[in-house]
Amino acid sequence: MHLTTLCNTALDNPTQRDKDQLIRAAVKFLDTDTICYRVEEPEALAELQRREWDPVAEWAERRYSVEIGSSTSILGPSIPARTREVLASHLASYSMWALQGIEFVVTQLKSIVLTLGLLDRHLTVEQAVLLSRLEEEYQIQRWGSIEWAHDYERQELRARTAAGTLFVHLCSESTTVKHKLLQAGG
Amino acid sequence: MAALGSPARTWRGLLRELRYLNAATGRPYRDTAAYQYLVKAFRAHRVTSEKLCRAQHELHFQAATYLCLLRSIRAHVALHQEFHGKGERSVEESAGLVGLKLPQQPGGKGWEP
Repeated sequence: MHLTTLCNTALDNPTQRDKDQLIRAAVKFLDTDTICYRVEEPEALAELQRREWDPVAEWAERRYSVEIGSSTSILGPSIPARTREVLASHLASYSMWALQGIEFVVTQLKSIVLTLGLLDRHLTVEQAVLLSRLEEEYQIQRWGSIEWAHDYERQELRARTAAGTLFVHLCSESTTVKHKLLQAGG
Repeated sequence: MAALGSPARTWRGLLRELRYLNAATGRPYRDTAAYQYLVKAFRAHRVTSEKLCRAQHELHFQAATYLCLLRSIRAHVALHQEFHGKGERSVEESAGLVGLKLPQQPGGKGWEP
C-alpha cells in the first residue's frame, strides 16, 4: 500500500506545497540530520557512529563537493549556506512527484544524507535503515531484541523506505533500448 | 559500500516472494504479470552489451529495492498478525476470564425483532 499511498499523495498534494517548499523542507533536515548528531558516551556507541556514519558523510561531501561535518552538541552541526544551496539545486533536478517521494524518505530516515545515499544508489535500503537506526540497533545488541516491537519497527521502516526509494527512481528514470542492426544476409 | 550481492541471489529472492504472494490465490506465479516483467528485465540485464556497468547496476539496485519492499512488507504483516492482530476479546471471552458465562435467553432479548 505504500506505493499507492505515495501516488495518492503526489496526486493530491495535501500539504499544498510547491517544488521550492518541498526542497526547502528536505534540505532543512540537514540541521537535524541523524548522522550529524553524535553522542559522546558510551564510548562504544560513539566509536560505532564514527565507524559507520563518517564514511557516508565523507561520501556525500565528496560527491557534492560540500561540507557537512558533525557535532556532539545539542544544537547540532552548523551547516554552511553553500552546502544548502548546492543540495537544493541538486534536488531541483527532480520532478514534483519524485520530490514527494524524497521528502517521504527523508522523514522516515530522519536524514537527508542517507536519503542522498539511497538516491545515488550508494547505499542499499537495508544499509540505510540500519544506519538510520544505529543507536537502536546498538542497544538491541546489548540488551536483546523484542520481536513485536524492534523487528516490527525495523520491517516497517524498511518497507516505507524501499517504497519511497523505488517511487523516486521510477519517477525519475527513462529507459531506452537500442537494438543492434542485424547484418542483412547474402 | 553497496552490498548488493549477486543478481542471481536477488532473482531467487524475488521468485520466492512471488511464490508467497501467489500461494494464497492458487494461481501459478509464472502466469502473473509481475513474473513476466521480471523475467524480461533480468534477461535484458544479462544480455545488454553495455560496457559501462552503470545501467546494470541501476537495474540490479531497483530489483534489490523491490525485493526489500516485498520481504519487509511480508515480515511486517506476519509480525502484525502474530502480535498485534488479535484485537479486543469478545464479551464471551472476557466473561470467561473471570469464570462467568453470559446468560442464554431462549426467547431472545426483548428488543430484538
